[in-house]
Amino acid sequence: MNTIGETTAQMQSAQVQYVRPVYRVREDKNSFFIDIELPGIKRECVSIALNKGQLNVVAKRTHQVPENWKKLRKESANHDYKLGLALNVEVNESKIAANLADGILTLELPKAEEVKPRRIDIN
Amino acid sequence: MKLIRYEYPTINDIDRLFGHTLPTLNRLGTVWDRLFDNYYHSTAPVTDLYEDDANYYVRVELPGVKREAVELSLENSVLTLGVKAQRTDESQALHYTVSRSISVPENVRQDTILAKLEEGVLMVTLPKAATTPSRVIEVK
Repeated sequence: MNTIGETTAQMQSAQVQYVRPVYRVREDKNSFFIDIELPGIKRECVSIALNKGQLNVVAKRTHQVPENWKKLRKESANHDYKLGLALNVEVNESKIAANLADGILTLELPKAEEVKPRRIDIN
Repeated sequence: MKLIRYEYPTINDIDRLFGHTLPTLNRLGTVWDRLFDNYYHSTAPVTDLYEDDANYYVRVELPGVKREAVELSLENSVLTLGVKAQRTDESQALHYTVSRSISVPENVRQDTILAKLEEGVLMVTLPKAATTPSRVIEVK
């Protein structure tokens, strides 16, 4: 079982260096929020880029266990995290905020003025 | 030496398998997540086990979990991790419980176990007790 798993991993490693993190999207009146699960990732290892509506988040896994630790069971992946999302809404790119706490990266994408719900008064 | 119980593969494992090895399926991710969202939050968290000469180490990934929500207990050589968390989403309040049990080897010193939660990763250090030399019993 192990051998098969390792062989597959080796075969794949040439093409795949990333694992897609678990994420959730929520919204309120003014913003969209994306919560991305990045356990054990340091702040300086995360890069966030938004280019033409394509949001890319890459997180480098720097966690290393000491060499003399013998692996008894390993479930976590070795690959870095990468999440690519195509945004289909207009966001205010200059006001995007990111916060990393307790292994969760929260991105706040403020909605652009033109997509916010607007109340129209009747004269 | 038996350290852990055999666990049947769960839907969680399958999900992870997809995340790892099938990049072309990435675009199905959202659908996949939604489909298994409920399962995801009630199954076992990602756990690594290590040992060195002095200790056993259990590393559990618990993103978004606060220290207060973690319950660790050791009973009859079984280490049980429980997490009760409440996500503070305005749109969807998620109550979920994570739990995982690990059979701990006999030679663990139960009084000096250390646990630390940092950046969504729980690290439990289980010190090994000095091994008692095996006694040869003479048959008369």
